[in-house]
Amino acid sequence: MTPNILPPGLSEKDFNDALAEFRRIVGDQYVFTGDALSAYRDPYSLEDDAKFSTPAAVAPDSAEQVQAVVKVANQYGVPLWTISAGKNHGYGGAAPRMAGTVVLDLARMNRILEINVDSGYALLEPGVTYFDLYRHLQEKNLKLWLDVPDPGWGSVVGNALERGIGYTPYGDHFMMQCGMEVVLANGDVMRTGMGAMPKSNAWQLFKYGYGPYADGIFTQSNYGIVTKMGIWLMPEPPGYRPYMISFQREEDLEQVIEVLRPLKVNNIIQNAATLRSLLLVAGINATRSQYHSGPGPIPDSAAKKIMADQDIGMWNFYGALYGPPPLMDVLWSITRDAFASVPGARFFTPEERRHENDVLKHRAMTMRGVPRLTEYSFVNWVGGGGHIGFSPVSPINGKEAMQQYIMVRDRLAQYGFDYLSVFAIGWRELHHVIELIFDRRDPEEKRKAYEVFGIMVREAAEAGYGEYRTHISFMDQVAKTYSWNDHAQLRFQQTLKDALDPKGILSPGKQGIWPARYRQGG
Amino acid sequence: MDGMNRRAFLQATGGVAALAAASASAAALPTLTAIPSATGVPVLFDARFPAARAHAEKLAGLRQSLDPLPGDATELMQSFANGRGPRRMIGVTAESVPFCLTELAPRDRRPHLTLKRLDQDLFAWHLVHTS
Repeated sequence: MTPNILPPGLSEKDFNDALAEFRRIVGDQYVFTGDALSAYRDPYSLEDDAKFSTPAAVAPDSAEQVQAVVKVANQYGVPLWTISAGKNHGYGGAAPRMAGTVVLDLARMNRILEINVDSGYALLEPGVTYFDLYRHLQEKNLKLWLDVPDPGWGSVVGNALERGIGYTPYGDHFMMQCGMEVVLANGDVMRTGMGAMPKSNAWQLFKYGYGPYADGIFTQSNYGIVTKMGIWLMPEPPGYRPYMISFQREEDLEQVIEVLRPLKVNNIIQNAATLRSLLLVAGINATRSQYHSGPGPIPDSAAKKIMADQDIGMWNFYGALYGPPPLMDVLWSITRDAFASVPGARFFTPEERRHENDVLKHRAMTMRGVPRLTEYSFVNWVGGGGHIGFSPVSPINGKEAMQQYIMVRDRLAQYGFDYLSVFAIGWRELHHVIELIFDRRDPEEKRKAYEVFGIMVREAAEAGYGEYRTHISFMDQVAKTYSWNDHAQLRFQQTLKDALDPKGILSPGKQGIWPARYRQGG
Repeated sequence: MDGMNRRAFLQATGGVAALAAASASAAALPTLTAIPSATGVPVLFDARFPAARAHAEKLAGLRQSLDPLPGDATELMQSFANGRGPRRMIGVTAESVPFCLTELAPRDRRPHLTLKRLDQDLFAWHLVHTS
């Protein structure tokens, strides 16, 4: 058959020969072409679908099949874009960065290889989703909690590799990763850390092993294909108390963040807590048209009505306490006293929330590692359900949080978009994740979203704020903002790329890292 | 009409008068001909929107019952997407519901989706597993 698009520089004959080889390796039914490829498009692309289209997808079932596929890809020069659950929505979904790239779909590799309750870890294949792992722990009655992002339909391995975040004390997913098995571009396979020692039983216990620590270079990267990964799981604590604190005024953000920093740095706030903007919380239960039908951002009068209707604040902090009750009592006392200094702060437990579908009741589940889909309904805010994530990082500093907020809010308002965001509180930093919500059936909205996103990347970088992750449309632009010393980091990344993947077959363009073969066109 | 089918509702609320009122209201709504009906399959609706119920009633006709979408539909979505629940679903909701139902299914066994936009927020949809 004639594919809709070919990998760059490949003849149709060579491509079809490569597909035949892929079919021999994984089986006819696991090489997808034609209409079956609709599952590999980005539903939220702001650009023409053709820019990210794939001619085929290949779904191996084992590391050995991955090795064989990679060898064929090397032989023919077929670029491969690796996905696991393919739920990287807002950042490109399952779609490849470069048109003509074949998707290497690892969803069939969904084995839970080991759970160790005593030491608190799991060894997983990349196709294991948060739902899979949660179900397994429940069915086996294992007293371990996982840490989930929201929504929880993605891959545990994939999310850690993208350096995603969750909401329990184990919320920094890559920090909780320990040990990898990686298929390299030449078809070789290696294990990292203690896994490199044949008889070691500490592969999932000690991250660093001996010599240079390699795992980091396989995250947000295109240097290898991770086929197994260890992830630490949290022992079920003896107590758990989720809570919410609402703040009434826009300008409270600065003080809230200042109060937050010492609490987080001193580990009084134990989990990866979040501070959520009014409309992100409201969007779980309401839509914009229920409050405002005109153009432009939501007016203050509508914001006040939303706050009253949903009993939420302009900013809403969701945290949780974990441990023995006396410990939680002390931590709560300190936390409550600190936030009570913010005028108008209100404190809630889930039982005190009056609406059945209240966000705190959902967060009470996600902050103890129960994967859900409910909060994905924020994408309905404007109707038509499109979203893309803009995610600059800053210190946990009130003035800087306020500066970022005003900068993004005003720029979005200029283009007619509302401000929906979450400040995810890291160990020392804020991930300010702004959800740019647009009607994906409206070409003009998409055009405006694309334009304002590019402007925000530039303006944020000029102020010193870099994105921790981005959509495939903006990977090159964001990579270029990390430009210290004439782009020394990108040049180092390209050097590694050329050494590890000289034919440039693994995920070309991922995070702005292009192999030499495509570098001029990237 | 939670837990009550449309025929029982009409009988309980005065039959002809209620039917006439519902028909008048439905006449003003966009056509839903793109969405197939299916006897015995309840029509889900998003109870946050009065219009969703009106559209769902029109879609359900006399043969189907109505069910409000639960506030947390995670289990419902998973059971359908994994093939452990119903083979077919019909609804009038915001778009994230059919999107999630489709996305949750394995990529090589996605259900077939028919979708019709009704207004800024609402979509009528029909999903069926064909494999």
